[in-house]
Amino acid sequence: MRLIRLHVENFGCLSNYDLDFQEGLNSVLQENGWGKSTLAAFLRVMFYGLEGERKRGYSENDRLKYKPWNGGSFGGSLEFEAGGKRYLVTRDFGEKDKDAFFRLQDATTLLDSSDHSEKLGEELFGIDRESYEKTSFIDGADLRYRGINAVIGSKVGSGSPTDDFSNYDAAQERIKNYLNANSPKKKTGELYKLYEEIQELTRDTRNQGLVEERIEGIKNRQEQEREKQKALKERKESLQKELAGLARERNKLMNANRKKDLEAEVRRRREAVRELESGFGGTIPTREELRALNEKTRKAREQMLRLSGYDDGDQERQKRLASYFRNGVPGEIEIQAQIETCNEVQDLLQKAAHLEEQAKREEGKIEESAAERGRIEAMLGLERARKAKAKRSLHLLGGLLLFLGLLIGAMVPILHGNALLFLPAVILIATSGVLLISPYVRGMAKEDTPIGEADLILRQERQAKDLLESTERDLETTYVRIHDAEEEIGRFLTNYGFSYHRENSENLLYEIKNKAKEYSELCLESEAREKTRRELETETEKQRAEISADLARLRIPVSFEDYEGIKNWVENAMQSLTAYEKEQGEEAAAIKAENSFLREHPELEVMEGELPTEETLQRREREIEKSLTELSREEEATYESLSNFKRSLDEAYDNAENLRAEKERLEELKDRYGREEGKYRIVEKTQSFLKVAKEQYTSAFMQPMKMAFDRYYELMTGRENAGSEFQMDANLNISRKEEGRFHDIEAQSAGYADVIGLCIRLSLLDAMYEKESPLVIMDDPFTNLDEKHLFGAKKFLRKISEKYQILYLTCHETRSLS
Amino acid sequence: MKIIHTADVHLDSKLNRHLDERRAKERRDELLVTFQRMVEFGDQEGVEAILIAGDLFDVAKVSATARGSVLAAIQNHPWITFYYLRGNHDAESFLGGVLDKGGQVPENLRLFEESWTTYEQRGSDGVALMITGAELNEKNGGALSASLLLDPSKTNIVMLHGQETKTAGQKEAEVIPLNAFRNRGIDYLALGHVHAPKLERLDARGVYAYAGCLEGRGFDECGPRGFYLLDVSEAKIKAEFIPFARRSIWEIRVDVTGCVTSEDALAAIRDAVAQKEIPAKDLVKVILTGDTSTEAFFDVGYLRKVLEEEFYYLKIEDDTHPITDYESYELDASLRGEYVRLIQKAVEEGKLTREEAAEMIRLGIRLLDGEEVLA
Repeated sequence: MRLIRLHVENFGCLSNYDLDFQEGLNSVLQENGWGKSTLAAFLRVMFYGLEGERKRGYSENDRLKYKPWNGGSFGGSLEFEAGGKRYLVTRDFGEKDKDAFFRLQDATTLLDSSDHSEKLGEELFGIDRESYEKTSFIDGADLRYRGINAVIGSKVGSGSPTDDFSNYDAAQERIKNYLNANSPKKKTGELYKLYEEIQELTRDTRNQGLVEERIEGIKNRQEQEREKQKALKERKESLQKELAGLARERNKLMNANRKKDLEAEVRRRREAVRELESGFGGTIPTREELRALNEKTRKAREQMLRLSGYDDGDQERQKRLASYFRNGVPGEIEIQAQIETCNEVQDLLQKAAHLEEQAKREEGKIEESAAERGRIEAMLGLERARKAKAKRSLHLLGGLLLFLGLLIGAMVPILHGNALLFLPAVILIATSGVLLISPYVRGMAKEDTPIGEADLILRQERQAKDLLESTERDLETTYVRIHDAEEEIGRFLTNYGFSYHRENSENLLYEIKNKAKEYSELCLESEAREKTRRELETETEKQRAEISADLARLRIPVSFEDYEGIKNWVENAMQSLTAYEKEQGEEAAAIKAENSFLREHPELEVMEGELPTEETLQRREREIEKSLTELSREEEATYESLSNFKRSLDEAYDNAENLRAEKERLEELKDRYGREEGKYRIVEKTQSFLKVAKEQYTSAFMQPMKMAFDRYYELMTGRENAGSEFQMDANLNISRKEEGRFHDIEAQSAGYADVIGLCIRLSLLDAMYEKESPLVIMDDPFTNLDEKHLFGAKKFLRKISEKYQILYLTCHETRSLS
Repeated sequence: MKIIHTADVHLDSKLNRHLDERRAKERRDELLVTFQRMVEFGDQEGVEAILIAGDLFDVAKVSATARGSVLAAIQNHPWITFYYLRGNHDAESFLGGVLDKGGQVPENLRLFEESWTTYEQRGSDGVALMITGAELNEKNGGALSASLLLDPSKTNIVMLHGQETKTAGQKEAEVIPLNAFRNRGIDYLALGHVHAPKLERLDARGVYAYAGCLEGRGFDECGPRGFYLLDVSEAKIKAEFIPFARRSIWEIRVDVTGCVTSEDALAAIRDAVAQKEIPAKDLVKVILTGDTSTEAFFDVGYLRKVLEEEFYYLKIEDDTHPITDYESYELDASLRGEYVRLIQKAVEEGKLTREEAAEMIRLGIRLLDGEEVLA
């Protein structure tokens, strides 16, 4: 890479500054404050951009540090050649990072180029900014060599950096961090802490035996307490049983007393019954017997009363009626026959009157017929003569018409051929003829009428005469029958003191009928009464006998005739009997209650020994209850103790559980420790092997680099073989041998240190870049050199300018190359 | 008659080894809910007894929630008889506190002691079953089998909680020498303690079974988890395993031989997960295996970040074996070439093991590549 020119628009104190570069050495001699370091920084930022944008410190923040003093555009341009092509890079850093402008152009065509990005430095030189500052940017203020970084290392090794070498430092850093963080020796190390935790858990878990002992101890005490609780429970149950026994004793005592009470009650009731029994004189009548006696007495008394006031009935009436029927009492049928006969007479009498009226009517008819017959016969002679003449004329005309009709009817078919047309006229004519003839016939009949009437009248007259004769015969028969019937009725009435009269005979018959009925009834009643009276007497005797027997049997000191006395006695007896029965019931109930009680309590039948008294029982109960209260209190205490033991046991279990968890954790931690420690050892070994590998790897290019160092050092010092005083290790650290021992170059004077630093940097550049190397910027690098070394330095500068393009900046004429 | 055989529910288990506190609590709740679901399942299926062969709880101090839920599950199903035999984790009966305060054991809960206790379980179908059990401890561990007396004419289930061993004579607590229980008239030996389900023949007559845990809790409890559903008839006992866990735990080994980048490994993991058809609700541990080149690097943190949303919990471990092709570095002029050759020499001189060398090469190369491998 070769710089051609630069233009600073505004950058720090520089403004509108241009500089053309030539190959080899480019020297800028300016006094202090001109801006030599700013120019060097400008070149750096043109390749790598501004640094420390976010940092607050002025010295670390390029933007703050190089902000144009007089304002204006912040940046500039740079023309350079790389890979055979010329480029123009323009940067304007703007007010803020986001305003920054970057442009890369082909310097020949001025067309934009995409050959490189803003990371121009990294892409052209193959190293980062830090590595650039450690190698090709040589600041006189800090020339001391402090070793290389991985980027430089990798660049040194192959000319182009490999990933693994560039990652070496980071890898070692990671390993270091890991080993630090996990160190088994440092207190902050994870393995150390893990070990400590394992130790602590080991100590803690040693107490497991104690916890188990404690659990066993609590369990034993718990068991003892449970035994005690069990014993208390048994004692309590025993006392409760005894208490129940006392309750049974009390029951027994109460039952015995109850039995006595029941027995006394039975006795008392029995005596009362006996006393009532004695009131009945030995025989206790039943309620039915008493009721029967009372009833018998009442009936007997009624009988007596009935007999004493017995009614004989209407004997006078019976006697009066008997006078009518001295000839016997007619039967109802017989009387009814007479009444029928009487009614027949009435009917016959009405029939006879009717027949007589009929005879009279027939006689009148006969007389009227005879007169009518005479008048008719006279009229008949005159009429007959007038009608005979008229009839003959009509008959003639009719005959003619009939003939004419028949004639026409016969002729028309012959003459005309169609007879049907003339048939109505023929029929009309013939019919007229017939009609005219027929009146003649009728006239012939009418002519005979007066003769018929006369015959009819004659026949009616004869019929009337026959009927009259018949009626007269019936009349005679009727009257005979009336007579016979009236005679029969008269005979009947006579038997009972009556005579026949046509007007009232029927009333008499009905009177006889009523009286006969009444008489018969009276006779029957009389017979019945007699019979009843006899029966009453018989029954009364029987009742008296029965009552007397009852009185005797029941030992009733009252005469059977003293009905009131008997009644009163029975009433009293009934009351006594009620009382007696009641008392008997009470006695039976008492006995039943006693028996029932004894059945329920069979133990009372075989009661042995003396029963305790109520006082004894109560005293014992009080004692037991007191003991039970005490036992309950103790039992409560055992509950409380067991509850406490349960809590303690839970606590101990918690401890045991925690211990178990701790043991598990311990095992887990031990496992983890084993794994982590194994890994730690692997990492340790990896660290060691990587280091050795790197040393062996770097030793391959260490020799050429040492030779380059020796060469530059001899050039600077002007002493031959001066480089042999130094040795370089695989990490490219360099040390100086003095008095047989190698010392770190840090211990060298500032001048020597600067010389060594310059030589190493150049030997590094030799090793890093075989072809294109970056511009070497040297900002007043020889300020610490004395005159003797200054000569060598200038020689060194000229020598390296043969290989590198160099921008040499100085403020001292003495250090200028002119 | 149907019976459930379960064990090792480990209620109140902390579950915080892999899970954060929120999800550990969620899993604890899920354990309890799965237990309740199992009881409900039993109820629906007409189960008449539930055998809990130990370790119902994980800790001696049972939480009020777990105690209350278990008691409620028992009391709310009076038609189911619960046979609860304590295991090594059930230090104290969860009823201890209740009984100390004068409470009663639920009528449908049968408990066991250090010596053999036998209950008769009569099914609604008339089948009679003898359920015998004893709680193993340090005192009775050796001699318990000798005192077991069963009526061979009956159908016998024996409950124990402990680790099976092949031979008798073991004196340790919680050890079940299977030989000592052979030809003793056992039809079904219901065991607890081993967390994986297992059903095998005990002798000519009977079988023995570990129900396993109801829900897996860690990556040592992968695969289906649930309980055995027994169908007991006069003639025999038929056992069927019912997978019942809400979430399954998977450990899949993904061979990433040939993979170089994390993306290669991610694709390999996705393939493996798809083949196994692992549901998103499950807990998954992926172990990368295989021989890989020293250039290969799988960023486990990155892989986990990419995949963690796809599962309830995801853990990824790198168990690959880096194989160094030393020949390829023979002529490598770079620093890494120098480094590998240096290590190769140390291996040849016996200063490093091959494993150490592989680890160091992988680490060194990653570091030289600028990877933040030690962050």
